[in-house]
Amino acid sequence: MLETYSDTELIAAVKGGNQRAFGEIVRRYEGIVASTAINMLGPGSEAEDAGQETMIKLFKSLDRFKGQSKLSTYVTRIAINTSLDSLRRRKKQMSRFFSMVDDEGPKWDNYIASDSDQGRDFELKQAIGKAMTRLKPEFRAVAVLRLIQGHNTREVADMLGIETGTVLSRLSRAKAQLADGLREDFGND
Amino acid sequence: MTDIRTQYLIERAIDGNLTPEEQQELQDLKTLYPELESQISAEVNLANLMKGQASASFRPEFHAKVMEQISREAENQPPVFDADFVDRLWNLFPKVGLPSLGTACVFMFANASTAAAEIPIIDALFGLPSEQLQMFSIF
Repeated sequence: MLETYSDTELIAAVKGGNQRAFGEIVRRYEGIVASTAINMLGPGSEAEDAGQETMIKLFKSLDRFKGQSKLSTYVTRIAINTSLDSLRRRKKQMSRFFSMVDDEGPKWDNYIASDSDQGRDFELKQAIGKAMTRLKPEFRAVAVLRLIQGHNTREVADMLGIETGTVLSRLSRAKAQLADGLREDFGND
Repeated sequence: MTDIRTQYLIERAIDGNLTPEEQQELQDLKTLYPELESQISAEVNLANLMKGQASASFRPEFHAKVMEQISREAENQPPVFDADFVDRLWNLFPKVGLPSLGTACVFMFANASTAAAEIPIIDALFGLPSEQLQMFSIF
């Protein structure tokens, strides 16, 4: 029944105290949150924690959501900023404890293929994942939102709270670094 | 690195949103810089490759865990993030080495099972110096 509700109807139900309605929102947007957190943080428990944190923040902020943007955009904005916070925390922890400056987080080598990842596609997914972890967080965020999720540059700027020109400049550098990274793994084909 | 205006036009071209004026501007740029054609083609290829990265999922128990957290939230209890202890320890091992593994183990255990209020207990048990106790608090 709830699956037939629109986002607006679900939000109204959640505001009315229906937790099952929020369960439907989680089911609907889990994929977007996973795509954002895993591509930002790498596969593993850190990304899942960021995913859970995103959903809790969403739940807590639904009262303030006025529908100015699509719910998917709103969720993505929370997910990308939560992931950036996780990366900042990781950097702080690593530098304080272990003098690590080049931590790349969970390794994509350990990523387990899902049913949709077969043959070269899976290798490619790993290679892109590894190339992404080499990007600075601020470039990675732009690459996730623009290249992976297909938002336009104005939307990316809005989600990250930066100027469109900054998005374009980071995007240009991110693309060049990604292309270099993939060339290392796959040659020029 | 491409200048911002050209990058803007490339992104609009990838989205198929160029206005006739922008189309002309890009065409003029291609005439001036013939290598732009191959750059656009490479960027379109990269964009297509990257789209495959969009499908991702968490473990099947994600939904249940979120709902559990929401129930805790409704009861005004703090969320409990249970990033897998062994998984995190395994990831830390190559970075900290064996001598530090014991310490890593202790603070990760503390992270998983204690709140800040319990730090004095850990202090009493292990006699850790204050710098290390600060480490507990940010984990």
